[in-house]
Amino acid sequence: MLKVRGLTRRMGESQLESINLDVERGTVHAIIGNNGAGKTTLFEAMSGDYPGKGSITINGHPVSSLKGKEQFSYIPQTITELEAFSLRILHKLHKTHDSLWREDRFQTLVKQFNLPMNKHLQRMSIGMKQKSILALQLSRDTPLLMLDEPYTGLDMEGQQILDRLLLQHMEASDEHAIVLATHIADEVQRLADYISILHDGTLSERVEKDELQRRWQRIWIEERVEGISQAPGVVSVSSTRTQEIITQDAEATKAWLSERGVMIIKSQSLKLHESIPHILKTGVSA
Amino acid sequence: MSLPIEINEERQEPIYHQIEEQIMTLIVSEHLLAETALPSIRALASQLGCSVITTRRAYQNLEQRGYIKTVRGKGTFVQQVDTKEKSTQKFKTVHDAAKRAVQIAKQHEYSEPEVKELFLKIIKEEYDA
Repeated sequence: MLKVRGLTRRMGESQLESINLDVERGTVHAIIGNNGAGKTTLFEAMSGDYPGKGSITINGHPVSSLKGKEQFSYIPQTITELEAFSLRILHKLHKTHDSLWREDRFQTLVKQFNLPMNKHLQRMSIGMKQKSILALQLSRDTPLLMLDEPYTGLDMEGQQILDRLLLQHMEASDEHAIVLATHIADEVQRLADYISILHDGTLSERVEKDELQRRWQRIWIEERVEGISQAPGVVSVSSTRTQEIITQDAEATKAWLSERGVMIIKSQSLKLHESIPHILKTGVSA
Repeated sequence: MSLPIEINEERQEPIYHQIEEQIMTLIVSEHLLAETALPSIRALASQLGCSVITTRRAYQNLEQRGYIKTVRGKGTFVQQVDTKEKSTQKFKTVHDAAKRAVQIAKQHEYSEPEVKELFLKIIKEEYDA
């Protein structure tokens, strides 16, 4: 559905270096990276705002073409150009000019989020502003959602509503997809099917979320083993009475241990909130 | 609707298999009756924090084994399972759980008489209650 090929942008602080990305229909793809890794630059480029080198197509249409723009809704991180307006005016603009507009959806969202129609966006709190943008963009009937840190500033109720909206978007059709930028592991755990890591402007190959949890494990063994920190997959070793090993390739590490006849006391998959920081820190390819 | 199942991070079997077995158990124990609608693969994935690739695989396997059926555009539903199949599966579930208990006892170096004695004690506690 979304195809990014050789996207390169060398401008300002964050650079993108020949990015390739495929988001397939029916899937949710999370782009993970630390602050300043270039997530927003990537999303701006993908939404057609600041074209760089390379090609970006959605269902075969170039992203900045008219057909391309009809394929996606975009939740940016900053919305400076809209801040001078009230929701009432933005609503009117969409209603009269946006062929994908779904009025019933917008009315429901305004009620759910309890949004003030007459207040200028710049006078709203961060969370309220985010809810307003969500209400406007999620009222457009498009197959692809591009979301740059969509949970920013939302209260718990808002988070729950957004969870439900994203679930509904994906359940509505097999043709739908979501690509979202985040640095919060819990969002990835709840939402994603595939993960790509953005590190210093380059994007890792995608990995299936559950594959990551199968590979990244914590293993406890009873005895000290010579050379364990150099064993395949091993990321860290700490010892108290037992030795605790973090591995990014459980299968290889366990094979290595069993060759040496070492008893494994217990092993357990790492949750993403434990494995992702390791991945981001070391820049290890996922 | 959510299902009363969970993923155990300490079990080494793949997640799709854990989901498959737990749904199968709910069906043969008649906690899920025929015609019951199951959550979508997306809803189940978000409940369990896994990917739809995993939940789809679990559903596909269950469909192949005749426990559920997906109707395009409508959803996934529990199938009628015959009584013989149910009792075979019930036996397998109980057998596997008992076997796991014995294996754990063995790991902790319990002798055969000790395990027997423990089992008899538990049986007495559970059936007398």
